Amino acid sequence: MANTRKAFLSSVAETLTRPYRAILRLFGRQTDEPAEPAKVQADLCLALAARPALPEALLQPFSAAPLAAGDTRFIGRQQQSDRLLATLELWRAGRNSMIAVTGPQGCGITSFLQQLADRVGEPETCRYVTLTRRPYDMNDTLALLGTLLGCEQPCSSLEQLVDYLNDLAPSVIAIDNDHFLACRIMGAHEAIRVFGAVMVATQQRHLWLLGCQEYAWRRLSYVYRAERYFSDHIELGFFDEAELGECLVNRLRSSGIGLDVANAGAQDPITAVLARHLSTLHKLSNGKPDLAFFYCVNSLLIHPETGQLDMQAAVALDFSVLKQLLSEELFTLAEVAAHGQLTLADHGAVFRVGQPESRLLLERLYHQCLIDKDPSAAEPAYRLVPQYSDVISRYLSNANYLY
Amino acid sequence: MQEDTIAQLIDLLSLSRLLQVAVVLACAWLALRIVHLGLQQLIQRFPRYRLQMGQIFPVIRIFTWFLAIAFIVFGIIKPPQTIVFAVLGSLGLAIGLAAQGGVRNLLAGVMMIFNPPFRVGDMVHFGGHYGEVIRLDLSVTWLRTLDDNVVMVPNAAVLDNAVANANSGELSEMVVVNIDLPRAVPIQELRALATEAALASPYTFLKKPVSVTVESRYEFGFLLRLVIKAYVVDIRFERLLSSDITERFVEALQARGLNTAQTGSADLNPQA
Repeated sequence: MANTRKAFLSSVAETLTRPYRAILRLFGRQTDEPAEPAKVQADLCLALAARPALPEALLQPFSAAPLAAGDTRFIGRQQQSDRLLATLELWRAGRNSMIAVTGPQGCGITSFLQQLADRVGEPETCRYVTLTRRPYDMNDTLALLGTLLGCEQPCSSLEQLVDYLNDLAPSVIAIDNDHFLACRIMGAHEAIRVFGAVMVATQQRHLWLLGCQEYAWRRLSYVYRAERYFSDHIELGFFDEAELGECLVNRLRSSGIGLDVANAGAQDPITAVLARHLSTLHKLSNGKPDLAFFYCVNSLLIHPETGQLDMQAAVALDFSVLKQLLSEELFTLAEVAAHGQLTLADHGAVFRVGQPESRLLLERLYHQCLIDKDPSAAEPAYRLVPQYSDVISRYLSNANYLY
Repeated sequence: MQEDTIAQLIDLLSLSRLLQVAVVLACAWLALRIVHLGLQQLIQRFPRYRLQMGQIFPVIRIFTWFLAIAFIVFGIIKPPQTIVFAVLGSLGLAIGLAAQGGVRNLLAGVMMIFNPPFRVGDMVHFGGHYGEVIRLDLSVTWLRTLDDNVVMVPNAAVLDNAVANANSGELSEMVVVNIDLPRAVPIQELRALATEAALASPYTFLKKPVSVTVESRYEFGFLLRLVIKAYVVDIRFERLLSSDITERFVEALQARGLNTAQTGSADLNPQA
């Protein structure tokens, strides 16, 4: 919200001063400001397809995949982690608790939850499970939860599942990908209510920890008042400039390649090469790790003769394609953002259109490189291109399609 | 005396003064064009704030013209007191005589600037028409109705009639969908279905509550009326939301095989 307001005010100032500068230029007068550099922007699809000319060992650490427990590349989040452990202590002392961990897509919720296994410790076990699909009704929810939580017999009722869970040893149950619960399909409300009822009914026995994307969480809060049921709500954000610098240095170091840098002086070579461009990288990526990695690896280069590491200015991505979209396409993008992902059937149910129309819309957005298909899903599921999700979400929010 | 005043008036309107007046008017017009274009750019960039930005321009336009005219009168023409009094007297007479018609509309327009009952972008019931305010002039207001007609309503209507504003400067507005059902339907189940239909629509603004109430009514027999109230995410999609909720609800009824032979008279009541 603050970013939107800041952008709005700077844009107002820019719009008001533009005619003044234009008039000055018309009369051959120079304005105080230097002339704007020509903007070079990269096409979204070409940028995705481009392969940086760097050794594989250097690219590998920049993978945007979630970090497993104990991975040394995980940085920061100390405050949030301490808060979570404090709630855990209260729960152990007898206060019934449920915790929601939310944040924008790609901020590292999965990595954060996966680090818990190391930090929770005895006497409870930490069980990390991921929702892999959307539950559509009560029976579906019972079957899904039963399978995830190791119930061997299929549960036919809510009470049966609650009894099963209350018989288990106390544990911390972290459920990731809860954006699957924010569903706008007729009938799915029952599924969400059953899911919530199971958690609320067993919170004395187990500490439930939900990982959910920001917009999905907002919807759950607007419609079901979800925030009222959670004693703690931990919000993760993107990295600030210092954290992003630490993250990038960490990733470069973990490549294990001995890197030499020209004009590094007494400074650490990796820090030296990044320092010159860190501010730009942060500005372009808004601190979103995967987008920052994307810009970083496309800007890094190794001189073929000297073998020295260097970095060129990052080329901004061209998101002007968003301005060409029609309202039905913007609505589709907004629902994809809020749902996390949509299959063709989901899209058809949300917008009440036939499969050909759903396919037409989704494939068009796919070929504009605004959404991609999740390869791990059983049926084609479309989601925002991970690197671009923040820019797209902010655009949709500004255009009043996502809230 | 009268001839002297006319002679003074003719003296005042020399060619150079008329040219200066033309330049000032052209500058005022140009300044307004620049502000208008600038605001259009901002609106394109920040559609979410389009109503707030849209309401600025009518005020800027009035004040710009007011300043331009004041500058022309007191900065360029500089009439002597006798002429000022003569013109003011004539104006007073004109305003007094024309309490109806054009001046009445003009006065209503000035009143609307200082005490606006609606702004550009609002959905209003005004002068017997319902639609989006697309332009505010000093004497008339332009509405775009739901049938995509552009209607010009004299501003004087604001003095005589009540004005209903559905969104009051916000992008979301309440949409009411009425669905009549036979009495012998399972009320609780249908109320839940109606709520779900409203929540499932992509045009529903989920930040604001959805409510469904049941009323009893008589129309060629006893009926139950479900009144679904939901907020649309943007006033532009008001009709879409209304239709979408009705379609979802009727489809859900059909899918459950419920006996609703008299179902289907959904109507929009934007005033509710």
